[in-house]
Amino acid sequence: MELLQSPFDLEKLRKSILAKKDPNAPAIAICVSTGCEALGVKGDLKAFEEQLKKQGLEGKVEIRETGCLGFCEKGPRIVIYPDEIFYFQVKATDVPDIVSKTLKNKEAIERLFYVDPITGKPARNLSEIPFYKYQNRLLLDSNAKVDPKKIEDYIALGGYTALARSLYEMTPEQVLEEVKRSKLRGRGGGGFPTGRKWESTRNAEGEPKYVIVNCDEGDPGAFMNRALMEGNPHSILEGLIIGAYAIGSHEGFIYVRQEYPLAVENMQIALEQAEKYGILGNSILGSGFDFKVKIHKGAGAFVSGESSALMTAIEGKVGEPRPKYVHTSERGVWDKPSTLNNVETWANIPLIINKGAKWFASIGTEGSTGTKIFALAGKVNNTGLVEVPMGMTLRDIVYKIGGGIRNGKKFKGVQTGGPSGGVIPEKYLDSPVDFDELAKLGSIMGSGGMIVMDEDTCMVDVARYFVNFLCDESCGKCVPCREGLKQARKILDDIVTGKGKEDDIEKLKDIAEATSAAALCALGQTSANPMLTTMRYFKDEYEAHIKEKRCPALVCKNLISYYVDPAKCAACTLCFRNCPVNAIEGERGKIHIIDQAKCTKCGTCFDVCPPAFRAIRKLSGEPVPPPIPEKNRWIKKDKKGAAN
Amino acid sequence: MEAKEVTLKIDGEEVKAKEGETILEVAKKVGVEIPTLCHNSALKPFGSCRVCSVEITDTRGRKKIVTSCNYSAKEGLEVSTKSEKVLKTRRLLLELLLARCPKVTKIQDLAKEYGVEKPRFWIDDIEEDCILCGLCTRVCEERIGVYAINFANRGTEREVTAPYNRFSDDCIGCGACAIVCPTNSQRIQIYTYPTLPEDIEKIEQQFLKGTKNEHFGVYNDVFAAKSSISGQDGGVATALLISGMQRGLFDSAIVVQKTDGYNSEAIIAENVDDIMKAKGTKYLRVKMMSKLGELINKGKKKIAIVGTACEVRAARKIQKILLKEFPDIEITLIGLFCFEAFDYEKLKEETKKLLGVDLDKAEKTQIHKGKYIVQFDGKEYSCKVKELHNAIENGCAYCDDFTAKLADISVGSVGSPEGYSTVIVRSDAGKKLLEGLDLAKEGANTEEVTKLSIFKKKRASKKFAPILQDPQV
Repeated sequence: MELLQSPFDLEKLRKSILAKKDPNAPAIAICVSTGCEALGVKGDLKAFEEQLKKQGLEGKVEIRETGCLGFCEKGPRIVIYPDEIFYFQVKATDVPDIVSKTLKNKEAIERLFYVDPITGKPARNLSEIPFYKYQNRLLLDSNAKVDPKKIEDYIALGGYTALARSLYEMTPEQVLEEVKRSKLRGRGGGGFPTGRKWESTRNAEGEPKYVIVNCDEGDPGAFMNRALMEGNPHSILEGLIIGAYAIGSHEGFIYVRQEYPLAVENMQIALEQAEKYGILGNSILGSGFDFKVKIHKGAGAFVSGESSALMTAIEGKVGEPRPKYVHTSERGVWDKPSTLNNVETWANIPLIINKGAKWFASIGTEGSTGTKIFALAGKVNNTGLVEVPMGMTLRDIVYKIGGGIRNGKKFKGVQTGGPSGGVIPEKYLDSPVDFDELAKLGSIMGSGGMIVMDEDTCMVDVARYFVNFLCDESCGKCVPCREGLKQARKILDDIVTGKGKEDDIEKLKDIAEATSAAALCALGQTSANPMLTTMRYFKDEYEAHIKEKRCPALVCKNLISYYVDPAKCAACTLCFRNCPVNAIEGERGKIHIIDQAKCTKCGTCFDVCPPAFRAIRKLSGEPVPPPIPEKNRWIKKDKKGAAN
Repeated sequence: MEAKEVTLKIDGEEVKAKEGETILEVAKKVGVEIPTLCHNSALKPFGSCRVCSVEITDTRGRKKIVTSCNYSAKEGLEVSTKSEKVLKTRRLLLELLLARCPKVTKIQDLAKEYGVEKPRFWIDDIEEDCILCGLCTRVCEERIGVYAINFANRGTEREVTAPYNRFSDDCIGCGACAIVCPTNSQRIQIYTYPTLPEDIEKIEQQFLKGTKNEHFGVYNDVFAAKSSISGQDGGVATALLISGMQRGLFDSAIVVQKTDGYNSEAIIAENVDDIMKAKGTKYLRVKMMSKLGELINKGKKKIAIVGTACEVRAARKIQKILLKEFPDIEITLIGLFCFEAFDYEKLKEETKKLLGVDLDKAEKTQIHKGKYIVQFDGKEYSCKVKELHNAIENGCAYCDDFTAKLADISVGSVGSPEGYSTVIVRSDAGKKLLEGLDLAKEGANTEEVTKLSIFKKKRASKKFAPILQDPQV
């Protein structure tokens, strides 16, 4: 393979790749990223190979293995080209039909379409699916178009032209200026202006200077960075090289967590392929600019996502944060100036160079430009990765894209920013999602976790969950984070088990105040957010737990009881038969009674009681009514079988 | 280049400082007291306890809590060491620490100063005495350089320990960790062997017998001797081992044997042949204590260990622990005079560089009268030991024990004529070991031994001085 020596060479290569591609040729794009793989896409792939052979299409249809499109809960997902027909939840048994009908006869299979759960309408294209309709997928869109293991696919889409433009048409200062004018802010959580960070490293004394990709995504349920790195590694690499050029760095690190094997693999391949074309290494594209990259596999500590901890880990030490009174952009890895950006930040760079800062700044809000990818999860109808322009309201994300709350339940809160973010209540649902607005509400943008909670969520329990997570993931170096969180967890444990005391809220507030003010790193400083926001917006729930020993959401096991409503019980024995600890007494026709002493509050009875009866009730803060007298327990049945 | 001078305010008072100085340093200079727990001016600032938090107002009027131990003085900075926010923050931090270590006087006193007598928080372990300040781990790493202890686990599980929660093979028992520990924590004693003066006294009382010489320790006899074995100098250590083994005084011994070339490792000797393979001094520090565990697991009851002061200290500490569980275990310690040990890789490099000799092919190495002598191909090559300073093991300069004062019997070349070894008998066990051993005896020159003992002690004091300068110790 010949090294590309100029932008002209790159363009020539792109044209030759395109020339070999027939846009009208049938092709199958099939998502093979982690989510779809877990859902069995490998079986689908095998079935396609077999069926193409069997039905005489072998070698005539390209199978393109692509990255994630975000709607993972509906995976495996495939797209049939050239007509761009989207199929969801495709099983291997569906494959013969797809080959015989769609590929051979251009006939769409309606049963594999996405069906809108609200309208019941099947959708043939993405634009008809509400989950996609309201998104602005600047970054994620390419995931369905490229095979991440083939640099040629990326080049065919115009990949590396931004790099060529930077190296040949712009000075490093101009690149820097463009990024500054775009007002891009760091996507890892802090929201620091990217251009300013670059400039600070560029101006800092000391050589070598380093550039770093942070892909130590550790928020539970979040996979924005994984999707990008698995699905389109070259977009990140291109951004990184452009950044290095602007900063004056010749060495970079890509820090990926070991738990993302496919991301590591695809990035490794991307580096090798880029090197072969002369896009990475010495004199990139013949420009004289040298840059090399190493992949550093992280050992899976949440705290290593914090920039100084990550840099310490790169140095080969335990990933623990260091004080950042001098920014890492000036003194980072091995005390050398180091710019670290999140995966998503780097992936935005080629777009900014290609389409201009002005275009980029026109998307989003005044203070937060561009789009942001969120991992939408929790009690919404549609979950997955969503990319929206900054400034979209939480309500639009939850209701328009997320399709509202599952099972017709009521919305209660949305947690943004991962474990150290905060819960935002319904009254702020119309707030725009941007860095500053979320901070005003006591939460953070974070790297993009977004968990929707419904009325069945206990906010004290939520706070306890996140505090517990942070307790485990705190590095333990500084006192407020380690000891403060430990005590907060103990207090919250007490509250949810009915042992809460009057001064607990005050103690939690004191801990929160001290950690926010005095913890060593940003992770510690924000660790109080889950407590602070839930105490701020759901104080009555804390008080109910502490003063009345009552869990209003009927979640906290120690504060609830299960009770069979005798007026509703049809004595069907379903709960009786399913109770794992034989705490239910009764027989067919005889109203069931739960022995409270034996009940472990697992909730099985509640779940199995048929919706027609709904005889099991959860009680909290009130005594369980005494069992009905033995003689009244026998019920006569009418012809329909319902209880009298 | 002279550091720039900046002017800042501490509690309203204008003070001058050099740019780069920490607020803590500046405050100390002008007599403003700031409490610290994880700070020692001989070590890099760590910022883990946060107790030295102060409130700063920058030139733009923004207020922030920072730790004074690692925040640099800047022009125009206003520092408050006693603002309401500072006091409240410190109070809560100390309350948290008091809940962690309720019995530690240092924490009790400091918390009391901030108005906390009894923490409102949960007390998990009333005996906990480690505040995880990291002073011990950092002094071991940054100053001593042996990395014997560090933090393990994270979050609430964090603890100070040696690798794999086992008796350390690296600890030299210098005691720096125990000296810097603000809470006198017992945790560092679990797998390592800090040996402070009070420990030495206890060990002497328990195991040794005789008069105490200030410089070479407790002894009941000292002489120069020569055995019929051609070992190092008088071959006494080897003779003692063989005789002890033959007479059943021990069933096994831990000795140092060359492995590949000059590099050596501790091995278990169970008969005279094994011992003969290990004769001759190696001047290297080897991993020894894990072998002791191996022997105990094998059911050995009578064990001899030949080692230098650091190894003897470690063995004594382990012996004390073992005796509680296995009262019938007998450990005999044969100490070797040691001024410093070398690192194999570095020594090899220096020998090549200075003498042009491949250490791995040397027939014998010897240190005599300040000279390092290598026998190679029948010829002798030598240089001054001083010239080998680059090859010295980390930590040796912190050791103040030349004669292995805690051994049952110590042996070394200093203080005896050519072909002889100086022997210091320190206990009944040592005495017993000499019984029936045919040695040619001469008088020893104890002045020479004293001279080197003092020299070594002085060096150690000098090295320790910076660590000791902070008043909190």
